[in-house]
Amino acid sequence: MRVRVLDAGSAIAFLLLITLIYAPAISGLAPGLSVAELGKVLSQDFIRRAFIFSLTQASISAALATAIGGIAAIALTTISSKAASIIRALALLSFMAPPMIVVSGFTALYGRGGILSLAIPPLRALGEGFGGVVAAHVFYNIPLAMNLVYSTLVAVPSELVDAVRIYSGGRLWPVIKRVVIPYASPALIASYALTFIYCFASFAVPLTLGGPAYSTLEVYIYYFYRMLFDYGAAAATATVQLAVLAAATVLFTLAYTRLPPPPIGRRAVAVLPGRRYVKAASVAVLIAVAAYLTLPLMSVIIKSFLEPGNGFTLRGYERVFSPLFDQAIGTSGLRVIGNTLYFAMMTALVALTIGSFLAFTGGAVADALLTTLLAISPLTLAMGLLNIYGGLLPAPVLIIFAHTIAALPLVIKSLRLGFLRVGREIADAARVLGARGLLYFLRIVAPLSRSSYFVAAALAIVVSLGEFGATYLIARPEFYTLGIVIYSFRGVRDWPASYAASTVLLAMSASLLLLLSRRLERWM
Amino acid sequence: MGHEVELANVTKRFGGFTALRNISLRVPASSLTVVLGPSGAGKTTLLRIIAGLERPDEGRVLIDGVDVTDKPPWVRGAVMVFQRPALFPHMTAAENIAFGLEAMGVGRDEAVARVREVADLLRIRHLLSKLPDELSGGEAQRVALARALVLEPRILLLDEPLSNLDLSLREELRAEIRRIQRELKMTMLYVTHDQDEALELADYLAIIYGGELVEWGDTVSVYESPSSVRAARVLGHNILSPDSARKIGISADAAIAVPPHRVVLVDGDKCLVTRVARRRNYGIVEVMCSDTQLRAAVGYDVMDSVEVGDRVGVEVRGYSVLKRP
Repeated sequence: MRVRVLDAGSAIAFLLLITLIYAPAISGLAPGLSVAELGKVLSQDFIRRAFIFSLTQASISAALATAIGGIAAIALTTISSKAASIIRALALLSFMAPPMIVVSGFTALYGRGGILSLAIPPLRALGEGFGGVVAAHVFYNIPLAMNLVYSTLVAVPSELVDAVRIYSGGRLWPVIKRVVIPYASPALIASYALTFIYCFASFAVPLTLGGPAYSTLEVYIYYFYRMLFDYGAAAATATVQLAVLAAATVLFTLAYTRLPPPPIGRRAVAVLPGRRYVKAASVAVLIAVAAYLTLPLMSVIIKSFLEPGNGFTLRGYERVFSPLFDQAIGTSGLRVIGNTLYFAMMTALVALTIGSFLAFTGGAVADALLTTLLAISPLTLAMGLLNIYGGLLPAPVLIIFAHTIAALPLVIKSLRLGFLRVGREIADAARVLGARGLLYFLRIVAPLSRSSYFVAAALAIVVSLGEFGATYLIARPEFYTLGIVIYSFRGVRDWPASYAASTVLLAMSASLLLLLSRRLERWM
Repeated sequence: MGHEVELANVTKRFGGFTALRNISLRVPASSLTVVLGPSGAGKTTLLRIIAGLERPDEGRVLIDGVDVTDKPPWVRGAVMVFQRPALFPHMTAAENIAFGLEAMGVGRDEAVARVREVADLLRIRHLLSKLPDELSGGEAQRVALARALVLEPRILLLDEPLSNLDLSLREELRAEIRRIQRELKMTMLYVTHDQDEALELADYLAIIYGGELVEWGDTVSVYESPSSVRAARVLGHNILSPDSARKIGISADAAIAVPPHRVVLVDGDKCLVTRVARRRNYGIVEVMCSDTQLRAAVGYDVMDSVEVGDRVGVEVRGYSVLKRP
């Protein structure tokens, strides 16, 4: 009977995967799966350039982010736990920051007339072009590398560090060689692969900071699909992209399965000896990282109140909060804010429902989902959703679907961590007392993993607030979200409005993340 | 009324490790059977198989003659109490106790009445509104016991339920479990590695060693005259080869087991006292009688009258022949 219940669960989980992920993915890719289409795309010079650019910037961004994040993780173990929490909360904020805000931040800080680039002109290189794309990707992914490595360092037994230190006479190198590298290397490989995946399929960052000369394949998927209506070329480009992403996903999966289980409530051992210069160096590294992660976001806020050349202004906010029709965006600013909040709430609702189901019923199914989603880019899925459901479902539903798909990996991860906390003893006790299926879930699992639900909901909302690519592909103006409007205001060079929209969006996601930062820290 | 449990040729493997090997055992209705064995012997696995939390790789589980091997836990009528109370941390004691009734679809009024009844039986009425956090170890284990008993299970499985409690509490709850078993005439299977617990509680004693059932029978005969070497070892008896036995005047064609309490120190000079150790409530005196080492369990008065190096005589007042390995 138990087997039957689980079978039914797995069947529904499988059905959800097919309708939400696999069918759209296949449909998104199918038109390009012909030699003619692939040949046509690959013979284009600009596609070859985009391929090489995607590969180069992703390799460099991943290497830099992993190196800096890894060093920051080791530095984190040397400072007080309170200070470490603050840094990790900041890192979470930048990791989860909507891409359009990050792009705005880099422009505000390093771009033409940027706060820092005015003072130090060479920093302009970080505000646009190749440098801008890599800098923004590094910004995004330092937190990822830092947290993956920090999590593995938490698993290092303190006795091991003490033993190596005693037997090596307190020298630094043996500790690094015998402890840090062996423990951290799966995390470093995993974070390199994951960062590479994110950067390779990046859309918003190259679209805005890179410009035509520095476009990724994902940008061309959009270009083919939306501008040229050449669905075959879009799908063929997506197929080429998929091949690289799939290889990186395999590498990531191999490394990830070697990571220790997620640490809950443990603090990392100080793997480096507590000498003064080590501590000073650690603090310097962390201050630099914290500055790199926060300054762009702060610049957005500052610039939202500045009219270029005219000083203080609130004009940007007036435009964002205006109930009147806005030519640049095709609807009113207020409506856009409403859309953004509506999609976020609905995404949380749908993602939590589907996510609980997937997280609860199928370990293997949920894993397959998480892995598949890495290799299939958001635009590929969005194309598929439009192909299959475009004629059946209204755009808002498709947008909620796309946001849900984007949020599911984080939602499932968070819920599964919560379910793990139920523990085998409680699960056994419930089973012998007769609890099964829905009763077991509602009375035991859900209440005991309540805090994971808060975290999952927050993450789903933040993902939805920030989602740009799929929404941009699917939405018509009346369903635009703040992310798209930031881009639209950039397009008409209304910088205060663009920064004001960024600040509003930042306020929404940051307040949610900071509110839950203590719970989220355990999740990271 | 009690119900009978039977295991027929049960084998359970975890990967390459065989946790239970070809176990056949019939637990009589309304009896309290204790499964005794060292850590890792397979005791808990045995209970989990009866409860339906594990499925045997081979063999069958029968309750009242009905094959339940493929049945899920909740239809077997066998409820398990674990080593740790495993109370649901977000529910009060009363809600914990009522949980199984809720799962069975028992109405609210009846559930409340039954919770009160079982709370009275276990003397925990005053704890009903407390959360697990607010209970002591002993109180929590009583609640866990109540949570199982309220379902009026056909079989109650207890997996070292007292091993995390301190001594006096353990003795108190042990007496309670025995009282309840007699009052309700319930079939209970109780796993422990503690011999005191086993001897006090058991109507029947099953000894498991290395995944095999090596001895089974009523408590007194198993304890006083085991017939397997491994059982005698688990029980801590003296094991003497036929040669060694002969040297203390016992002729047997196989090894024998001599329970330490059947070795009596008497006047004489054939044996040398090699060790004297004080235990709770009794003493251990080890003697060497021409190459044969014997351990005697004696009262404090006897123990205090000898020292290492003294010469004494011994009499063996009971032994069994070990016919099986």
